Amino acid sequence: MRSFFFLFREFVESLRHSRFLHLTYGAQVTISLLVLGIFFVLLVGGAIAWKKLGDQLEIHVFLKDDLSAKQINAMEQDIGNMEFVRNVKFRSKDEALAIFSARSSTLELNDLLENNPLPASFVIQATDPEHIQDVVAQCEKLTGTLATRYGSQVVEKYLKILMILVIVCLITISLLVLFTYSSINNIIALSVYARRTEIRIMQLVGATWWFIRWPFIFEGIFFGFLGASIAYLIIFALLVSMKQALALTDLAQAMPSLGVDESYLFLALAVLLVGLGVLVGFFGSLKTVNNFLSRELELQLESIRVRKQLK
Amino acid sequence: MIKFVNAGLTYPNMATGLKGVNLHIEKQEFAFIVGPTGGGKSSLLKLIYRDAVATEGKVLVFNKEISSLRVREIPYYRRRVGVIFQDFLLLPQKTAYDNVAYALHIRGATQRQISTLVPEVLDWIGLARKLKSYPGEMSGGEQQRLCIARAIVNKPDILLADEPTGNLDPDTSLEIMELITRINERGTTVLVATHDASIVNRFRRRTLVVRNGEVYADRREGGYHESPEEEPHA
Repeated sequence: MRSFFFLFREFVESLRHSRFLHLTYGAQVTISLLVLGIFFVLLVGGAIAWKKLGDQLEIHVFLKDDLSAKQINAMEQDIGNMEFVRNVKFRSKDEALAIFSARSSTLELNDLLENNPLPASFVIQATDPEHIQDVVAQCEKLTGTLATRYGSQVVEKYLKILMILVIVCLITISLLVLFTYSSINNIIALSVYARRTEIRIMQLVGATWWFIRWPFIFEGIFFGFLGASIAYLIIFALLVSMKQALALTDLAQAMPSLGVDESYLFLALAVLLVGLGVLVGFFGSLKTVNNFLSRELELQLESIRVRKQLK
Repeated sequence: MIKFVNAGLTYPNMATGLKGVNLHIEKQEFAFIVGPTGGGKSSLLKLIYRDAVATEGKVLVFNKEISSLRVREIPYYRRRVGVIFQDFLLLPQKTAYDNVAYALHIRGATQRQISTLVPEVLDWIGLARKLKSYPGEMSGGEQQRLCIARAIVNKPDILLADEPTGNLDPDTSLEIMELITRINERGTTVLVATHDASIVNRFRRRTLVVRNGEVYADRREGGYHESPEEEPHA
């Protein structure tokens, strides 16, 4: 514990002495995580928006005309109990006609037809677009079902695009994580290199590897956390101001699910940035200091190699 | 205390640092290692403080073969071997006090031990008034004294000095050598690598002449004349 406090003080001292280097260090980590965070929001926000669009896809189950109210109620209950059904709503023949009339404002169907030819229906929303086809298959088995309609081509296209979007998201975020890791690693390496004499002195006076590593690890974690927090705050402020700006326009009505108001997106972003910043800071500094320290090991290996060659 | 048995050091590029070295340094002994630059003086010291590993023969310190030390054992071994260099290797952002205290922190010393030992050592070394000075504010001689203070604060069994007077004027060099002699009188085994014949001849201690990676002469009576005719050590 004594050593821990000493090492922590060493880390604070080092921050005080190499201000410029640490400023560069902090800026680099912040920028890397900011770029990652912005891409994350764009990609995940886009994916959420697309997913929400998919949630609006509806299944129409048209009913036979001769069904009694009791049978319709039973059917509504059956559908409501089905797996993957989020919402079911009954649409009577009259409602169907009213909707149809509203869409074809030039025609006065009531005047043309004596009887309403449109069937009553259930309008169903699945829990997620991937299971629309499962719900349709179950509905088709019901005796009162006349026909089903769900825009099969639209659903297939939607699912295809969703899959591509998810793959693109994963690849891009993975690449960005790698980019962030290597750029933070480089700056840590620079910091370690600037203090190579200090490391050498530590080794010569008998410091253990962990004693040498800790101040650098503190540094890595500190800048990882600080950079992540600043990047998060910047993105948070950007999104909030974007949301406020959008609220003043019609765009807010047109695109209600841009992901801006998704609290779990903010949580995921915070976890991603802080987690990544801290982890990369920890492992990056550990790896870089180890590269310096492994000289002890290399000497031994070199000696074994040369001994073999001499034989 | 230190034993070289047919020890050699060949670098990865197959350049020879040392070859066939046989020598024995007793406990509390003082010895100079002399010879021209590039002759192998520093390589010999490096083999002792485990900054190089023998590629031939054996190097035994405290009856243990140094090349067989595990990596995690090296720091504990080095705490028993103090090293001082020509270029001091001090921490410029730390005061004289903190530079010395650093070596004690590494051993896990308590604050009370540190606050007792550091002023004591700095006083003994002649730097009592420089506790709060930074290395940059000190003369070359003072910096070397500070380096010695750091090396001896843990009371090492062996003190190795690689050209300790290389950057100092003759008077200061003499002061530093007198200090090193006093350390030896307190019971520490001392090995000093130097190419300064005047110092070697003035102090008259055992002298090992190293040339072209070999120990050419081992003079118990001391003295060095820089003459290349000296016979190889048997």
